[in-house]
Amino acid sequence: MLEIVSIFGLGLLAGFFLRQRTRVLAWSSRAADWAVCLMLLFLGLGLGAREKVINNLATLGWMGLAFCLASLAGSLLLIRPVYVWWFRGRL
Amino acid sequence: MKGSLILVAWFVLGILAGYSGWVPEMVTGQDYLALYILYGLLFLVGICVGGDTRAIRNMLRMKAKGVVVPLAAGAGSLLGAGALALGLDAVSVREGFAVGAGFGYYSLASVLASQMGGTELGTITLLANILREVLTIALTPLLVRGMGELAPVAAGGATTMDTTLAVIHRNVGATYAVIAVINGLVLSLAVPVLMPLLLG
Repeated sequence: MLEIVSIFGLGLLAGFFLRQRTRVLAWSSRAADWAVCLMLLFLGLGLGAREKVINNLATLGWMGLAFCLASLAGSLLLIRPVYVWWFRGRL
Repeated sequence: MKGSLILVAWFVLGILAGYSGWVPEMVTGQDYLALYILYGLLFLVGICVGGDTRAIRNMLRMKAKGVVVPLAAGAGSLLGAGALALGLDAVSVREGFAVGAGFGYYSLASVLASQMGGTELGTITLLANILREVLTIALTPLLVRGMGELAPVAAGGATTMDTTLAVIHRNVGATYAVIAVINGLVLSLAVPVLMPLLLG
């Protein structure tokens, strides 16, 4: 965990010091897009190679949908009072 | 939306290649390759966020009002997913919280979940957070009509600073678009901190 937070923090610092270098920032953004694609490819490879997971993909899909709806419902429920007390008719 | 479909295509390509058996086991069976790519990705995402001083300045200008939105949206997401996990045998409450802590940032969240909680949890996290983005894009007009201008900002989670920003701006205007950017920024920053905390 410490490695992950440290690497992200190093990136934040690097980004702050490179904020004037728009070409570097644009390159980083493109490279991050490719890294995401590679990560998803590897995630898929790991998944496809595990027969047990593939056989349960339908179950995992339903679970994914259920978690999506649960987190959406939670966010909408908690944001409602914030909207009513702080934002409605005030912006 | 096109970007989301491309990412899904990479994921599906990986599943098909892994399932077909064409890829040698030394690639599919090793996790360190994905781990090094993850480190590179985190560094690059850090550079992108750290270099965007305008977003940070906007956040400071909004003060508490701007920060309370991602706090409420984030806490709601965690609680919703955690509550669901209470009723499931296959996913522990901590893992449920972790899925909710993806906040729609499916690329990073799914990778973190698969590295720290296994491939099955990674897949659930990926699907849950991809669906969150797709549903936010599709349901924004309905959400605004039913629950007010702040509802799509909460629904979009971390994606409100990029992929869902356009649809939010179109439906609720520039002021809420600034709040959406702040919300997306705070929640994007929270994903690589919260998920390892929950799964570590």
